[in-house]
Amino acid sequence: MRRCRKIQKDMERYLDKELLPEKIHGFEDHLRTCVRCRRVLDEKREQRRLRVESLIPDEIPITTDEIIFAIQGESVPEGAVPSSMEDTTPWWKKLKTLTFRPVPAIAFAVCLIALGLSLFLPFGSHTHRKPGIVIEEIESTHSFVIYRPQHTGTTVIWIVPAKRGSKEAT
Amino acid sequence: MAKKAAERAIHHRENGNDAERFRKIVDDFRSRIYHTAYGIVQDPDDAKDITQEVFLKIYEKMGTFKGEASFSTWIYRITVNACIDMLRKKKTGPQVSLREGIHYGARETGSPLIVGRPDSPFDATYQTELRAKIKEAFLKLSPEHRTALVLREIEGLSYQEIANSLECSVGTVMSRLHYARKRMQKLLAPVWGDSR
Amino acid sequence: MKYLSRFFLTLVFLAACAFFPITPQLNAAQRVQLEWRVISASHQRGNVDPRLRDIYRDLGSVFNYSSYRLINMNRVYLSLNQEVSVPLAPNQTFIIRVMGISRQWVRARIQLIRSGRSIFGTSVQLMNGRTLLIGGPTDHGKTLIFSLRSFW
Repeated sequence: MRRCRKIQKDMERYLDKELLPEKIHGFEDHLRTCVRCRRVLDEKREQRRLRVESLIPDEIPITTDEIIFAIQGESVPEGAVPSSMEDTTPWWKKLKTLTFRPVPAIAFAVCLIALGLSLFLPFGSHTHRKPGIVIEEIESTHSFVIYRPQHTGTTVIWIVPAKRGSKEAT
Repeated sequence: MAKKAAERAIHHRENGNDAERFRKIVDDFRSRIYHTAYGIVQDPDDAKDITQEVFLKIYEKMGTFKGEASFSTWIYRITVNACIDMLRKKKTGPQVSLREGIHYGARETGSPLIVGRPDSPFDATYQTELRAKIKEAFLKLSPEHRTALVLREIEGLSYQEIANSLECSVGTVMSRLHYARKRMQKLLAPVWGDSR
Repeated sequence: MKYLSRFFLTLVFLAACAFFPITPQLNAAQRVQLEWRVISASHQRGNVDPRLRDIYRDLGSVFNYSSYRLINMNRVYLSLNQEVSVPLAPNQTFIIRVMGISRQWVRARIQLIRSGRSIFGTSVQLMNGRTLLIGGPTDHGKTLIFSLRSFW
């Protein structure tokens, strides 16, 4: 009986596969001969199985792409390079160390000019400067409110629910 | 060591390998992190938020990983901290409310558990209620006890790995596991009968 | 000689790259990338989905909700006259149709369909990277906010 109590005390560690190697032999020998301890061990094993089954989710509702997409919007992490490794040389001093390569430099300058021309010359109607979002038309069976906060480029269209009649945008 | 890791990170960035490396990490650890988070907080939305947050932290700190612990230990540590933060922030009590007065007949029948898959709608209902009861009991444990139980029983980590992830001693892990199981046993005694 | 030919080749390539988008005929074949998100907002315990970090400032400055949860999000490439249907809640769907693409703008028609009936429709011009928020529809007591952005 005392032996059974000792064995049952070690059961969780045995199921955790953490029972000391020198104890395993005696433990398993006892189980072979003791029906009662075997039953207790089976119950513990079953309870553990049910516990795991109850606590794990049915599915993983988040995909690798979703995670990566959400993070890609973030800026380059500050901690990626330890501060001790950061180059503290001021940018104007770095300019001196640059070697001048005429071919890429001229090509870059020409490209910049071309880009500038394409942006500012009136080649087409699409080059006219307009605000961030233009609402051309709205048809709605409900009342609506248009709100443009000045400090952000966001435009909000708030469809007022039919019965409530008051907008919730602040 | 840190310098080497940082150099490696810069090397990866320069070679455009960071994105691929990070994708590999997400692929490898997505389910483990979600399972751990869900196991501890028992809320799918919170677990999803935690998973996202953990990957953001991994992404931010990838260059500062010192290699003193194994990479997975480091990730479990971040996950567990995020879960505990979330639980502390929300200070949740039990999330599962069940009808009172459900008797499972465990004591009466002397057969404490229904073993195996449900065969009939009645069994299916029983299993669902049993799961809910287990969940309810689990939510009564403290975050630290839940964490130890999840890392051991769901994630299958050894005592030493759990100790490394939680930054505590193996003795503490064993005591937390012992307490968590004892309390679960006590809370669920009416469900599966205390045969000991 | 080797340098000279390389210079001219680089020049031609870069000039071609710079002028390419202003050719209207080529624009017609261009595709635009649209990103939409469906957000559930409520006054419950404050909790903001980490995936809304980039637009949380916008949301927070416009609405007074304390909880924002991302229900659904996607990025799709659409060509001219292509449309995409975004489920908002049971019986509520947004349909986005691309009506025009220029280098800085995309013209889109957005319709909210509830139980097979169009209850709201708008035509907008979106500048690259700017966010349009359409809010108001509700689902199980929570307010739904639809956010739309375009990228090139």
